[in-house]
Amino acid sequence: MTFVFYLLGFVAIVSSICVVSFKNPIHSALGLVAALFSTAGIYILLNAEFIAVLEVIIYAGAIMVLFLFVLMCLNIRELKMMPQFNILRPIAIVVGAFLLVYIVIIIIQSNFGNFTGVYNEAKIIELGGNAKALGQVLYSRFLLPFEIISILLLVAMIGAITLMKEGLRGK
Amino acid sequence: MEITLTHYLILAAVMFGLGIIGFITRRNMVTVLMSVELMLNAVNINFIAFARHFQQLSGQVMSLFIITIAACEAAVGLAIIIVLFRSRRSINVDDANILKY
Amino acid sequence: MDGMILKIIFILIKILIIFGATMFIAGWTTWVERKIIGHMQLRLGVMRTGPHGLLQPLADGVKLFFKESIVPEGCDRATFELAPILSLVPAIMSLAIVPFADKITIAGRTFEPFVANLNIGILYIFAWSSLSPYGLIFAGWSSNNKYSLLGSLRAAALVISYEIPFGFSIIGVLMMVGTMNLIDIVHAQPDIFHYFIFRQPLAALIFFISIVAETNRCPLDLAEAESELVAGYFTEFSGMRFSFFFLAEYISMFVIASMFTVFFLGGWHGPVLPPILWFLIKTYLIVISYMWLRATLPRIRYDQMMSFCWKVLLPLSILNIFLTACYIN
Repeated sequence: MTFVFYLLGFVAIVSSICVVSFKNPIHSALGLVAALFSTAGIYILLNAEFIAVLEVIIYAGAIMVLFLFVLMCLNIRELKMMPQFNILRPIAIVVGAFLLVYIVIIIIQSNFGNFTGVYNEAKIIELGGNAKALGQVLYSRFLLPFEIISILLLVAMIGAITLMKEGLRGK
Repeated sequence: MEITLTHYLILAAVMFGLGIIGFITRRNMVTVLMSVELMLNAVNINFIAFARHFQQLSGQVMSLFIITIAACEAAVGLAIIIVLFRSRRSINVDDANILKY
Repeated sequence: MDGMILKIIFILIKILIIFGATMFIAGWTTWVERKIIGHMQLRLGVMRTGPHGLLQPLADGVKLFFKESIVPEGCDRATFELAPILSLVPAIMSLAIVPFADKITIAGRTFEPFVANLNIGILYIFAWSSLSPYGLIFAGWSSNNKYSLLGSLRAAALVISYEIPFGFSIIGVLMMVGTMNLIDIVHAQPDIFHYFIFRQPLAALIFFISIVAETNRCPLDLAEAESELVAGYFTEFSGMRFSFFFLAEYISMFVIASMFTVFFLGGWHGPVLPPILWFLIKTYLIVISYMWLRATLPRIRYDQMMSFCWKVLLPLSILNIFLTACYIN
């Protein structure tokens, strides 16, 4: 367990570094896919198999393919020519590192208490697995947010289509 | 050593920090969006780690919503990038400095 | 502790057997395909190597193994190396949960003829099949060739579009069974009257059409439309790298055909013959019907296929979900 966590964490962090540091955006995208994969592994360690699989299907299978698509539809030669990093890069790294250290210190110092809810491992097995338990919660307690989020998805879809149509008419 | 909540939180914090660095330093709009995805992902880890710690499913439901929002954001963001590329021939963040074109 | 190690060794042996058998089947499927298409077109097909060309796959394998693997100039080296692996790995990984037969109890020990039994088995298959575009995209992009890039973009757009009716068509089955476990789905169809192909005919049809597109087979194989795009995304690949793509295509064909067997043809259930044989026979019938399609139908134009997916298959699959919901209540 411990070893698996450290392995996945290492892969996640290294591939995140790849995402922000690689010059070629397509290599960055590949790094992001690796990061998503290791996060999915971490979700499995946290007993959230359903979210892990969804992460792979939606994030890695749909969103990242969309990113790659856009990168390939844009002119690759021009992409290679453009400057990839800001002038402020060193300063940004220092500021980011400070922020990071600050967050880590806060995490280490804080005490998260020992509140225990009802959904412990035995209860989830009794309910018939992670997916079923999640479905029951999603369709009872979180029904309204769920419907709202589906409308948001619809709006985003229509928005994306209209944007593309506008761009075509402008030509 | 046992893996506690703190380990997961620190991992998420590191990923979030890297996402912020990428968001600030990159000039390519697509990579900027990718950094945003990285940050959302880090937040997701936090949610699920807390869900496990407090033995609640709300955290997992929230991460489901975040994945949905990430999908919306990617769709609209990439559409905007393509429209910008058509009118400017560039996806440099610094070139997108006029609100109306 | 000893039991643990024994268990791990046992699982490893199982993986090796399934992997080896699949490689064998995938290899000889190429022979079957050439023979069947040959006879359908009134030719003999391969004849030279061995009786009726039976050793042809072996010869092909040896040839591909010893051939020089050319790396074209100006290609992106890292992704060029990675692309064949990225296309082969999802195909092999999804093999893990193909349920070849039910649990068998021999002398008090239960033996499971599959590697894993997951509660979210269907989603596992989807997860790996949603990763298959990566191999295509990186292969096309990295080889620095416009035909490859066009082929790979077409293929990836096709695969992610057809993934939606592919997923939606199974939801009808899921609603009737109430589980995502593949073994339980097979248990829900004990005899021919309970096969989902009769209870969900529309879903079966949609599923069949979308798996042809998912595996990039003719008549929906725009990725490698040789009349327009040379060989599509793997034009620049040769030697072992090419054989990786080839194997990936045949393994994923086998895996997805076995999924059709699990969802719609009652898996291993059948009279007289042992279950594992029934499973393989049903799966192979699907694979052969793929070849039949390839031999008889012309290739369909790209825009026709996309509009067919979004304007016909997707509404039909949603209609199927709606009708199933009405039926259940």
